Amino acid sequence: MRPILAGLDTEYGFSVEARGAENQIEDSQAFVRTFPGTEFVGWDYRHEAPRSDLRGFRLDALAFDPEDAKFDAGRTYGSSVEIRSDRVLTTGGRFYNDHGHPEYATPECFTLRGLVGHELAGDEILRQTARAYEEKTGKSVALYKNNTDFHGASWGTHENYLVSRSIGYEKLFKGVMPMLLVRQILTGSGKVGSETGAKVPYQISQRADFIVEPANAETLYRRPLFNTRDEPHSRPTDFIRLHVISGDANMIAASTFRKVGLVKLAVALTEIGAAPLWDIKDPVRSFQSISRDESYRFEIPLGRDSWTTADEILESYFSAAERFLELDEELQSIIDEGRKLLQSLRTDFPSFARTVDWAAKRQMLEMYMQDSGTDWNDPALRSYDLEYHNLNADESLHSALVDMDLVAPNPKAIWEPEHSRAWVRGYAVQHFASHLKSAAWRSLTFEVNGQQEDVELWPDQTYNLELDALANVNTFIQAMREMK
Amino acid sequence: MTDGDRLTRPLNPSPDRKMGDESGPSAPDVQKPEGGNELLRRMKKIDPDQAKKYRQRSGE
Repeated sequence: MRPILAGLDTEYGFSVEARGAENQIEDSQAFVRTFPGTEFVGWDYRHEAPRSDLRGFRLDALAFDPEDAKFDAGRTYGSSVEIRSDRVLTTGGRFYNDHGHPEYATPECFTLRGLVGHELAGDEILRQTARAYEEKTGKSVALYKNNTDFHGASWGTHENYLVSRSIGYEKLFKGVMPMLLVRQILTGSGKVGSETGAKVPYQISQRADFIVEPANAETLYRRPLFNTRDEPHSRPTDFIRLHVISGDANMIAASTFRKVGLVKLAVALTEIGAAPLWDIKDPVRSFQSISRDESYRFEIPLGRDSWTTADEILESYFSAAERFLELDEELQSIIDEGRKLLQSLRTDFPSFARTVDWAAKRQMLEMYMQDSGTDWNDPALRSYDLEYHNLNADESLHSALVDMDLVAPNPKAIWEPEHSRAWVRGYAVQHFASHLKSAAWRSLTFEVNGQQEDVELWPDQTYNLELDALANVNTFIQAMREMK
Repeated sequence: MTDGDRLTRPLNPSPDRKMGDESGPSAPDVQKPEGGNELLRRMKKIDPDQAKKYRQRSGE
């Protein structure tokens, strides 16, 4: 099977000492601008079209959370470009302020190990920036890799997959949606309680409370299980960027690896017309009921008064993948490990919890309740939930679990881009920034001898430039143009 | 390959199957692991009202 290019965008929870949500946009803007490393400022927005829908239409406007409008009363901000404060880094990734959340978008990677390593580099970039910000302002910063504030606000950890345009929306939805519905049992980050008023002690998914429609192009409000934003960041006649917004941020890198790998299996099967087809009766209700199922039966109503389980749906993808795909070592490991996890969930929970965030956190909270004699009504549980996601290793409860060998340690961060188009972007920032006029996911624009030189970056191309090509900006541009 | 070639297409599994009509997995017991003291020590440093104070804007 072809390698599937993927990227991850992580918005971080963000609090500055003695400041509140009403200050978050300006604080996040200032935060991003204190990134202490090599950077290029000049993001090219011309290819961005968040209102375009895969189903063939364009929205007049995107929905906004009305609660956020209260924070903005009486405030004025600069231009959207000033607010976003985009930086392109030598990793080939993008660092910016997104609606008051510092966000790191990884460079595009063909491999899961590369992507996980770059996602961990994003965490480190946030920590480095926090140290620089604290030194500059004298104010402490708390960063959380989670997706909810327990007061009804949510923010995203998005996944992006390069998919052939020839598949079309209908097949992509049918082939991938069931996987988005069920993978949470192996990849969710867990949450105490609910933000919809539902009586539930603990959930598997951080995002389930905020997923209210099966499919749409929204991301800030009325969020869907399957996002239809049509913003390919590549030649639109050839590619779709499958934009997944229903997943959680993971503290355990093995869960990040699994989260992306499971969708890659679904995409690869869909591309060859071999994805298992499930007639899910109500995807949104099932997404929420799986998240809240204390019995771990994970039953899912189907059409014609039938039903299945999340386990059966996962196994249907695993068996189809083994039958129809030429699996590489990474995707085979997704299947092998996935089957073991489904078994250990019911037979060896501590083993399951070593690499699954929601289980690790639940186990941690159970330990606390046993020790303190409290129960799920204890309001402090949400604070311990939150601190599991603290990015500061000295304070994080996730890192305490790693230190105690209850949770698998994460691998090292990766800083060098893979030889995808991200490598070209990162190299240009590192070596030719004085010529670089703007950068985007799909293109770079240079200025050489007064001439503007646009270069298209190909998402399905492997970039291995010879040393001669790297000699100067002219040879670099020439070599990139000869790649396709 | 066409859709019709597939053996894994479970569009219509057991039409008479009703929700909850067979015994399935149930929630596991969570045992207190060894070494919990280090975790509990770190928990004691956390403000139990921390989450109440944590307010964020909605993102994407």
